[in-house]
Amino acid sequence: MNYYPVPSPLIEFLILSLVDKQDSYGYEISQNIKLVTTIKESQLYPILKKLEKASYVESYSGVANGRKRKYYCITKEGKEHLDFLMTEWIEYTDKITKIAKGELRHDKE
Amino acid sequence: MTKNSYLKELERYLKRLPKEDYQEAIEYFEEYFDEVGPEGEQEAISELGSPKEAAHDILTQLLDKQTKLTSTKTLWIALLALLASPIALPLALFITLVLITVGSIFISVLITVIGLIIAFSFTGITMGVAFLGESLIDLSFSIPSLLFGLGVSLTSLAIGILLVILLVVVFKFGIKLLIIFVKWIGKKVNRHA
Repeated sequence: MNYYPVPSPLIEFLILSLVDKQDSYGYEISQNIKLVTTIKESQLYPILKKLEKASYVESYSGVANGRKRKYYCITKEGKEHLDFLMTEWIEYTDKITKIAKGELRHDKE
Repeated sequence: MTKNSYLKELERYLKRLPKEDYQEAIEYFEEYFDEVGPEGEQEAISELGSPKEAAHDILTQLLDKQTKLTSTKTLWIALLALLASPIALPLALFITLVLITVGSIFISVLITVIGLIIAFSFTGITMGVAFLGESLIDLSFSIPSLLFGLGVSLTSLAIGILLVILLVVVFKFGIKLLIIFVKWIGKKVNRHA
């Protein structure tokens, strides 16, 4: 399991999908990403930060169990970007699966 | 290593980051350790790797993401990332020394050139004024010598300005090279890990 590497554009896709459904915080996001790949917090943090800088997500501080927690939520730009990523992802996986199954082939002239 | 000593060491490596970036990064890791709780502390630490490695990850990524930074800020982060590179300390020291040397040469060249520019322009202007004065005193107002003087001073000024532009370009190119170099080290090391 988890044989294929998950590069950072896919991590961005996953993070945006997660916060699109429900606001989330660092630890929860990281636990979800770890379902598909091993990633260190030190690698995940800069990606989150990048999404925030690009205005795809926003953060606000909340309190849970008496502790401070930074929550992330998706923005309008983030939703638009997520739509784009989703279309790209579907096309990408679709093509790969088709090639693997022999349903797609480059036509020789 | 405990959570507290881990965070302390991480803070040490990130300290020179712009204040806001530093604060946010530290808070993120503090929150993370809070979430895993005391039971998960050791596991989280071994997962993260040494504070130096974690700092290196963060710093090189920040270099990647923050393209809008001013060049001095970029230079700082690049140097920090270099110091946090998980390479042998002697090598890191050596590279830093080389960078400092190259930097000093840059600055001395800059100062020399600025000096030359000032001298050039000054000479040019003085010559222009001298020619003007001479032609007036002679009472035989000589337009050719006046124009010659003005021409010399303007040419000197123009050359000076061109040199300054050239220097800025060279300096920016140097910073770009440094960033590429830092990323290259990061990649090389990661491949070994």
